[in-house]
Amino acid sequence: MTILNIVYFTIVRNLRDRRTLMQMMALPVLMILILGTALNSQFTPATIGTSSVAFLNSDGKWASVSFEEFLHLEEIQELLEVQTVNSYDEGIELIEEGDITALLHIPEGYTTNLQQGKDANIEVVSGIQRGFRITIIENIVESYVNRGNVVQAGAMVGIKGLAYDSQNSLKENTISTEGNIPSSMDYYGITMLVMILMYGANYGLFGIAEDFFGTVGARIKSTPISGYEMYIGKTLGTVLTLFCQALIIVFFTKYVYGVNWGDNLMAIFGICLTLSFFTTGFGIMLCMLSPTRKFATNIINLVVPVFTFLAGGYAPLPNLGKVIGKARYLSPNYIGQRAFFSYIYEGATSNTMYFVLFLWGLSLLTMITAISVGRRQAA
Amino acid sequence: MIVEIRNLIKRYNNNLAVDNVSLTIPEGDIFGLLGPNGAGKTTLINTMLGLTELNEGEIRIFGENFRTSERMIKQNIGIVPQDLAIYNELTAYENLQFFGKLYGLKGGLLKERIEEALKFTGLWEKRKVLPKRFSGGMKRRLNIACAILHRPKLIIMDEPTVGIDPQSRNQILESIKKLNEMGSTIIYTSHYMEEVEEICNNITIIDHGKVIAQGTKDELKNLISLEDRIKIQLTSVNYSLEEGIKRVKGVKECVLEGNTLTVISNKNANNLSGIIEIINQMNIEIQGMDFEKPTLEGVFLTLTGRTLRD
Repeated sequence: MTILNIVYFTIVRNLRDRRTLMQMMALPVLMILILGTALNSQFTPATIGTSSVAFLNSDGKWASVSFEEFLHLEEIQELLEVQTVNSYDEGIELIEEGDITALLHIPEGYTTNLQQGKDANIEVVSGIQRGFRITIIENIVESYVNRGNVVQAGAMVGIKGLAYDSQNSLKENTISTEGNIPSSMDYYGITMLVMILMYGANYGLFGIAEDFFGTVGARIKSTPISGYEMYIGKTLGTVLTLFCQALIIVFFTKYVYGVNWGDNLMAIFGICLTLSFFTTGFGIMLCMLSPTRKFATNIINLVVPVFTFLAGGYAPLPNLGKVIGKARYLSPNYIGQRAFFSYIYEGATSNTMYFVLFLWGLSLLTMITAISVGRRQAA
Repeated sequence: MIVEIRNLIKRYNNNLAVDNVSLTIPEGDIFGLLGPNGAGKTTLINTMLGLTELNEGEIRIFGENFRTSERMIKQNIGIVPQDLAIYNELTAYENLQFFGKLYGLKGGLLKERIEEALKFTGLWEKRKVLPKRFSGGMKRRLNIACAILHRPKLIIMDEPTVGIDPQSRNQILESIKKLNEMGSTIIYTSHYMEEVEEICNNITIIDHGKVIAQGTKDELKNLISLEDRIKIQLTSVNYSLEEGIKRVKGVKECVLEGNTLTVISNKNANNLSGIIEIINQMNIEIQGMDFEKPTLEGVFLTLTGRTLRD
C-alpha cells in the first residue's frame, strides 16, 4: 500500500508540473508535423527507370539469337536498355566507366551445349557495387532461363507449343508501398516518440534527486518505510507518467496525423512501456552517478540529441562507413526505433522481441547500477 | 530517558563532525541544542535519525538500540528539517495525506489526524491551497504539520524558525510549547539563543562537534557570572545618589557616568525595588532601564571566545 501511495502521488506531482508536461507533449507533436511535412519527398518511392546493359553474342546460333530476341521484347525494354557490343573488353570498359550496369554475354558453344544436354550458361558480368538494378537484370535473365528449361524439358517428352511467352514468364504486379514502408509522418511519429521518451529520463532524475538527496528526502528517510519501497514506488510512478504521455502521443498522431502504428496497438504499448522503464532507469542512474543534478541534466540534454541523430531520428542516415554505421548500436534510440519498425513494417516479431528484451536488459543494468551507487552514497 | 547518546563519533573524510558526544534527554523535555552554524547540530540529528551512519558510539531511543529497532523508533519520531520538506505540487492536505500514509495512517484515522494537524498549525482553511501560494511562515507551519500528524513521542526540530517574520516565529514557539504539554518530547536546535532560552528546559551547547556545556538555563548562566548589572538612564543627577544606592542591600558597585547609572549587585539580589526607592526619594525621574542579565550568548562567548552568530 505504501508503494501504491508513492506511485499515485508521483504521478500526480508529475502531471501537475504543467511546464514540463507541455514540453513533453508539444515538442514531439510539433516535430512530427514539421519534419513529416518538410521531408515528405524523402520518403516517397520514386520510379526506378530502365537499367542499361550491354549484350555480347559470342555464340551466334539459334538459341543465343532467341535470347537476343527476348531482350528486345517490349516488356523487357521497359526494364532494360540494351546496347550490343562487339567484344568482351568493350563490355567491361563500359561497366568500368559506369555507362552500363552489366554485360550479358552468351559464350561460344551455348547452342551446341543446349542441344547436347550439357550446361549452357548466360554470363551476367557486373561491377563491384551491387544494387537493386543488378538484381532486376539477374531476375530477367533467370526468368528466361527457367522458361527455357521448361520448354526443353517439354520437348524431350514430346510436348509441343511451349515457346517462350513473356505473358507466362513475366507477371506484372502493381506494388503499393502503403503500409509496407513508412511515410514521413509514420517515420517521424516513431522517432520523435522515442526521442521524447528518452528526454523523459529527466523525470527519473528529478524525482530521485528530490526524494533521496533533497530536503524532502530527509523527511522520507526518517519515516518507517524502507529505501526499496521508496525506490520502487518512485520508479513505477515515473514509468507510468511517461507511459501515459506516450499513449497520448500515439493516439494523437494516429487519429490526427494518420500515423501508421500497425494493427496491434497492445504491442506498441508494450514497446512504449519498455522504453519508459529504460529511460526512467537511465535518469535515476545518472542522478546517482553525477556529482550534481545540473550535471546530470546537462548529460541528458547532450546525449539524447546525439542518440537521436545516430539512430536516424532526425533524418535517415546514409551509409557513413563501418565505424559510424556500427556506432548507431550504441544509441538506445536505435534499439527503440528498430523495435517499432520491425513490428509495424517488417512483421518480424522475433526481431521485435530481441530489441525489447535488449532494452529490458539495459533497464536492469541501469537499475542495479543506481541501487549499488545509491547504497554507497547513503553509507 | 527518551534519548541516550554515548560517545558518538561521526567523521566525513578527515573532518570530525561529531566528536565523542554523550548526552541524555529526559522524556517530556523541551531539549535545546544550541550552537553556531557548522557546530555539528544537524549532523548529530541526522545520525540520531539514521540518515547518516555513525562511526563509533551508541544511540538508544525509547530505550532501544537504533540499529536493531529502527522501524519502531522511526514510527514514533517526527522531524521538522531546517529546509522545507514539503511538496509544492501537492496541496497542504495532500502533503499530509502522503506523509501520513508513510507512517501507516489510513482511512478515517488519517483524515482525523490531518484535520487535527492542520487546525493545530492554523492551516485548515488553506488545506486545498498549494504551498507555493503560502507565505514563508505558513510553509514553516506546514513543515511542522507534516511532522506531527502521526502524534510522535519525539519531535526533532532543526532550526524551524529560520527566515520567517517575528509573528510567525512566536506562533511556532507557542505551538511547540503546546505540543510539549500534549506529551511530546522535543529536541529543538537553533543558533538563536533567545528562542532556546524561551522554550527549552535543558540545553546543550555544541561547537566544533563537541559538547562544551550542558544543563538547565540557570545552570549554564551560573557558569559565567555571579553578578547582575543594571543600567539606569536618569533625567538629572544628584551627587549623593551613588552613596545612597551603595547602601542598598546586595549592591556591590555603583557608577554614575553622565546621566547613566550602572549598578552592579550580587547575583539574584532582587534589590531593584530598593534602588528605585532611593532614586525616587531624591526626586529624580527614570528615563529607562537596561538589565544586563547573563545570557546563553554570554555563556557561549565566555566558553569559546566567539558569539553564536560568528
